[in-house]
Amino acid sequence: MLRAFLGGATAGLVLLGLALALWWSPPDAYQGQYVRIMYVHVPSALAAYVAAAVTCASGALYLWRRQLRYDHVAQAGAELTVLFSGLTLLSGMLWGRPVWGVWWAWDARLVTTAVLFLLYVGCVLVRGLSDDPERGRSLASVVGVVGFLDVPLVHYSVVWFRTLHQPPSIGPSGVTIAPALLVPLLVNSLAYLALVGYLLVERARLARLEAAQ
Amino acid sequence: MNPWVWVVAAYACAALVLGGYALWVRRRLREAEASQEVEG
Repeated sequence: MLRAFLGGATAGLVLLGLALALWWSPPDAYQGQYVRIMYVHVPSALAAYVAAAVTCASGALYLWRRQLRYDHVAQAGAELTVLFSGLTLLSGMLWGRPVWGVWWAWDARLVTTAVLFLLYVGCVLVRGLSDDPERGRSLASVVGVVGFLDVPLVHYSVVWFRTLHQPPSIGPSGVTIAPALLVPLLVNSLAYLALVGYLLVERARLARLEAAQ
Repeated sequence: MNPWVWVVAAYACAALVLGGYALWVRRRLREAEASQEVEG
């Protein structure tokens, strides 16, 4: 019942987010229509942060308590971190090529995000490297916990380093984004957070069922 | 190039990555539930 509600609410939010992003949002004064890519890029990055945080917390709990239910959540979180950080990189490239003129730049924000992606790819792969499943789970948990250290680096890279990437538009100093662009960004962020929550629940359930077989 | 080409490409990537993963999880969940019923 709760899962069906979460699935329905997520689908509704995603559809609303799409309508706001592709139809309701006006083009940006500087970026033009390319601003619509931001409604995929920014929420994906936010979802990747959340997935990495869940992987770190559940991985730490697994290492401490050695209960499989924590590992199932960590396994789901690691895959979702790969998925959402990969989508962040991909959508960033599709925005960067027409706006910056390059697919990729060796910029602090881009490099730390690529490192986050690779760390969690490693976290997913390391699970299957050991013949001993218990050892694989422990290794994956350690990588998941250590990998999370990169998240603050990703987030504050635009503050700590001189970067090509723009600083945050929403922060303690206020909001530097017009309401017409802010509303689609917030709704899409909420939709991606609901999506990461839904996929976490479903993927962890799958891991539990497969472990029971 | 028309800006909408880039916009559509970004949304198509999102749909492929997230939709593909969601469908993969659902399919494997159905299989796992079916095999559990058979065992039960």
